[in-house]
Formats: sequence, structure tokens, C-alpha cells
Amino acid sequence: MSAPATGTKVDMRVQLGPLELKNPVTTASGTFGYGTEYRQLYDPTHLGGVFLKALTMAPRPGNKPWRIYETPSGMLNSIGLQNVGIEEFFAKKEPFCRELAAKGTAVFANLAAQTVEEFQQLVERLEETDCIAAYELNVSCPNVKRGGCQFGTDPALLRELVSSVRPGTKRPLIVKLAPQVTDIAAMARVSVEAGADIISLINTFPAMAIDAEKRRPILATVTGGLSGPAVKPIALRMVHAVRQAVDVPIVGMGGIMTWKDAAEFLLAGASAVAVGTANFVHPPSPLEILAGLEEYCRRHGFARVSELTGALELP
Amino acid sequence: MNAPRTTNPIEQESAAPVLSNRHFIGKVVEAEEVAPEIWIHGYRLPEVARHAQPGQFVHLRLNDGTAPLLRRPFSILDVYPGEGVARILFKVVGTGTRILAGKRPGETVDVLAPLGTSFRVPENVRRLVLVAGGIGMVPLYFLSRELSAARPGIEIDYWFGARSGQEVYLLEDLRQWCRRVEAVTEDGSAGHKGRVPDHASEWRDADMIAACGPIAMLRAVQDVTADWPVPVHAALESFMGCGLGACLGCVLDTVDGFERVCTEGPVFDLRRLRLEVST
Ligand SMILES: Cc1cc2nc3c(=O)[nH]c(=O)nc-3n(C[C@H](O)[C@H](O)[C@H](O)COP(=O)(O)OP(=O)(O)OC[C@H]3O[C@@H](n4cnc5c(N)ncnc54)[C@H](O)[C@@H]3O)c2cc1C
Ligand SMILES: Cc1cc2nc3c(=O)[nH]c(=O)nc-3n(C[C@H](O)[C@H](O)[C@H](O)COP(=O)(O)O)c2cc1C
Ligand code: FES
Repeated sequence: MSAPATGTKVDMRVQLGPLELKNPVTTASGTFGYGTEYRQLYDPTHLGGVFLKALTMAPRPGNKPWRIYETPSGMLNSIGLQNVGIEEFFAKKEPFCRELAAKGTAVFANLAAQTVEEFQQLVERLEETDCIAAYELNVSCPNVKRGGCQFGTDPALLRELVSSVRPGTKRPLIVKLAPQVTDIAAMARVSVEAGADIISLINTFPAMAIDAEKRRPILATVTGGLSGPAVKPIALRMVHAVRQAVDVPIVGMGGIMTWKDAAEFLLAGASAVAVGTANFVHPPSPLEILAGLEEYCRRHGFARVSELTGALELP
Repeated sequence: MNAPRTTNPIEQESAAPVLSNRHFIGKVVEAEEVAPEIWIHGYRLPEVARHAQPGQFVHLRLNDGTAPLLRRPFSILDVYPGEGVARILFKVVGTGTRILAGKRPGETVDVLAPLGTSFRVPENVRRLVLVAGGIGMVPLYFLSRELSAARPGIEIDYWFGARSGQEVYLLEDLRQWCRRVEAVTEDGSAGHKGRVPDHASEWRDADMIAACGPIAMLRAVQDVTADWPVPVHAALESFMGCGLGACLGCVLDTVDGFERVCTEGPVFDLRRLRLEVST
């Protein structure tokens, strides 16, 4: 570790398997639209990467409202994968993705499907554009052919999914782990054995809110996914566990609000981080996290931000 | 590193006043309780005061911590471009509005604004009827004020419904620029007793109707005006996440599917909405 003099540039580039990101700060799927929505506030090409809202083959209307609700230091959502579908993506959203990619901001397609075949079709179609850096498989989706069991909570299904999608592309495959499993490390291992190049975690936790006065669940779908600072300690523990279990790079997320949170995820073993709910609370957070991480490296004498990954000193 | 420097209130005390062309730190210049638990706040936000249109909202961050976490949306009450001030009026209903009510002049607020769509009143409208329910009076106050100034001769009738006389306010202001201002209260403690839609027969010669209030009231307006040959527009509410169109959390059902209250709304053609009355 070489200590840079004050004022020297810290090398913010990080390696995600074969991909080089210009910095480790990305935005999480579903919290940043297709990148265009935040353009009214800042230039997203400053980001290391953008994870797009989940894409499905056909457009999906999503769930009935109410879809979101605030809980202590967190929020529930049940958006229901509302998205424009793959054709509309190409017609309307892909041009801006090209712009991002051209400026060196990696664009990650988050894929959601209810069958293995649909995941394969999504990859096949997206191979037609060169602006996608990697595919993130959202395995928190129910598999309709297997009685609605989630891909991400059944090791055999997860293995089948990843190994079936793997031959369809040379691009890196990211498996986004669902946190509601007994052994997150085992799910990471299964993913990597089946061909995943990168692991991202965590997706939201299934959770619930109740209106006692009305004796009703708050969300129209009864349950939703919990995100925000409330989940951060659990997410950190899971990143740490996955780091011990597999050798592939990790994109860590779950409740990251500040550069300090981001540094903790890197120290726990992530190579990059994704900012989710914080985009709603304080839109410039990803940029401030980036600036804060650089400052942190300088203060602690790291010449490269990548040196933080896994630099946790265990007792 | 070439990212622009901004300041995060979580991290630092001294927040820059302009974070982007939609994100500002504004100083509280007015804080007045105009009725029990009903507050008017004025914020120094020159850009918002210059550009905001009736129906648009501000998305306020209430504290620097994580509880409450999400921003809270509030309609704009009016703007003073000369002074660079935008005002809101809000009712204390929970944690966030309680915190907001504690803000005093000199303190600051973190604001995303102006957001959403605004009321579009066609040029040929001579008679406009406004139908407000409770806190829904806010965007219609702004609309009536702006329109009376911009279009001399326009006749505006303002129907203000509330549970009781305590929840009816700013009538004196409204009388300055509306031809007619009528209060309707459920307990009869101010104005007419009953509900605003009971008076729909008096709106028949309107060229346009604009409404804002509880879903049940909007449903009633929808029903009585269903076959009227005039535009009927309304400002809607929803729980919001981003306020910017990204999270898809705030949607309402319309004849064309789900639409975002923060982006396609809050002002909608009322006839396009499929409103569900819960309770
Ligand atoms: C576009 C828009 C414009 C608005 N304009 C105004 C305004 O001008 N003045 C004003 O006083 N309020 C307005 N609101 C409502 C305001 O945003 C809520 O009252 C506020 O968010 C409540 O925050 P809280 O933390 O105090 O309440 P919480 O503690 O979060 O909740 C308290 C109670 O209020 C209910 N509630 C919370 N948020 C909403 C909401 N968005 N819609 C309906 N019920 C809600 C909850 O179900 C709960 O019962 C507007 C909302 C929207 C979407
Ligand atoms: C409103 C909302 C929508 C989301 N949509 C998706 C999605 O489409 N696909 C996905 O993989 N994750 C989705 N997520 C999960 C986030 O990408 C992220 O994993 C999670 O929110 C944890 O990070 P956070 O606590 O920083 O928000 C969504 C989260 C939120 C809050
Ligand atoms: S509040 Fe996020 S899309 Fe409307």
C-alpha cells in the first residue's frame, strides 16, 4: 500500500471480472429508471455504472397501488416489475444507454422473467445492442412453471437458470441474490459453479406493513420488498459471507446512504456498490458517495479504491 | 475525480443553496399557523418562485437522518417571484408534517421543485369552477390567484368543502380574486351544511371544472360531471418515493393503465382516472 501525498489523485477504477468501471459507484435496479429520469438533476455519466429497471419480454403493467410505504428507516415497495418491455426498451430507452456507455458508464441490464426460456430470450434480444456491459439476473422472480417458487431461493432452480443462460452470451453474468435464504453463501456458490461471473446482493427482503385501524395490509399486494438503511447491517453480513465463499467480484448494496456506508461494503468484500433507496431521499448521493470515497482513500493512504475491497481486518 | 462537488446534509452543516436546477436548499422566511395544525410556510426559492405553475409540487426532505426517510410532497400554495419566495400550506397528520411544523424562520429546507404537471386552462374558458376538499384547497388557491391576475374578466367560483369551520381558511384571500367563494362543511359550522358535490347544479354554466380533495369527493365530482361537455381536471395524491418518475411507486389507475402521479400528474383529466374509494 503506497500512501499518496495529499491532493494526489486516487485511482477510482475498479475491476468487475472482465469489466473495468471508472469508479465503484453504481445505481441499483429499479431506483434509477433507465438513467434518464435523474438527468434533470445531474449528469449520470459520472457514475461507474447504472443498473437499469428490470426488463421483461412483454411490457408489464405492474401491481395495483398502493405500491410503496415508509417503515422505520426503510421502505416497502411492490412495483411488480412494471416496465416497458423489451421492444419499447429498444425504441425509447436504448439510445440513452448508448450515450452512457459511450461516456464510459457501464450499463447493466436487470433481467426478470418467470421461466428459464424467457431469461434466455431476453439475453438473446439484448445481444443485439453493444451498449449493455453485463446482465444482472433478478432471481427474486417467481418461476411460474415451478409453482411460483423463486429462482433465487431454491439452489437447484438457481443452478438450472444460470447454467441455461450462460451459453447464450459472452458478456458477464451477474446473479443478484435474494436475501431470504438460510445460507446466502451456498446460493453464491451455486451461482458461480453454474457460470456467474459476478454476484450482486442484496435484493429487497419480503416484508409487510399493516394499518391497525383499518385492519388491512397497507400494500395492495399485502407484502412488498424492504430496502433502505434498515437492511444495511444484514446486507453487510451477507456480503461478508459471500466474500468468504466465492472468488468472483461482488456488487454490494442494501441501505447505502453515505460514503461511509459504501466504504463498509467495500471493506466487507464488495468491488463496487449500488445506491438504491438513497436516490429517492437525496438524489445527488451517488456523486457525494464517490467524492467521499476518494477522500476516504486519501485520508487512509490508499492509492487505489480497489485496495479497499476485502481490506477488513478481522479479529 | 471529475464528479461535480455537492454537499450532503447528512454529512455537512453548510449546504449549498443550489444543488441543481431542480434541487435547492431554501431558507424558511415565513411560518404561520393559520388554523389549528394548518401551517403556511414561505421558503426563499427564487428559481421555484419564477417557474412554478399551479398544480405543481415540492418534494421536501424533513430531516438529515433516516427516520422519516422519504421526502414528503406538498402542493405549491403561491409564489412571489419578486421576493423569490414560494409558499406551501400543510396539515400536520404524522411524523413528517410534525417535524416540518417545527421549522422556524431562518432554518432551511431541502427541496426538489417544481415537480409534476400543472393545470392547463384553455384560453376560451370564461367561467371556471374550483372544487376543493380540505387540504386540496392548496393548488386551487394558486390556480385561482394566477388566473385572475393573468386573465382579467375570468369568473372563478371557489367551492371549499371541509369537515368543519375550523378547517376552512384563507377565504378572505380567495374573495379578493374569485367572483364567488362558498364554504361547505359537513357539520354546518361554516357556510352551507353538507358536501361540496351536493352543489353541483350550481356549476352547470362553467366552461371548466378543476378539483382537488379526497378520493371520495373526486369520485362524486366524476359522477355528477360525467356527461358535461366541459373539461374536468383534478390534482391527485399518492405515496411518493422519488418524485421524479424513476421508482414507479406513485401510480394511479387510468383508462390507459397505471400513470405516475409525480410525472404524468398530479394534474389529470379526471375522466381518465379509475378511482377506488378505500376505507
Ligand atoms: C402531489 C401531492 C400534493 C400534496 N399536497 C399537500 C398539501 O398541499 N398540503 C398537505 O398538507 N398535504 C399535501 N399532500 C399530502 C402530504 O404529502 C402528506 O400529508 C404527508 O406526506 C404526510 O407526511 P407525514 O410524515 O406527516 O405522515 P405519515 O406519518 O407518513 O402518515 C400519517 C398519515 O397520513 C397518511 N398519509 C401519508 N402520506 C400521504 C399521502 N401522500 N396521501 C394521503 N395520505 C397520506 C398516512 O396513511 C397516515 O395515515 C400532498 C401529497 C401529494 C402526493
Ligand atoms: C422502488 C424499488 C424498485 C426496485 N426494483 C428492482 C428491480 O426491478 N429489479 C431488481 O433486481 N431490484 C429492484 N429493487 C431492489 C434494489 O435494486 C436494491 O437491491 C434494494 O433496494 C436494496 O438497496 P437499497 O437499500 O439501497 O435500496 C428495487 C428497489 C426499490 C426500492
Ligand atoms: S414517486 Fe417515484 S415515480 Fe413517482
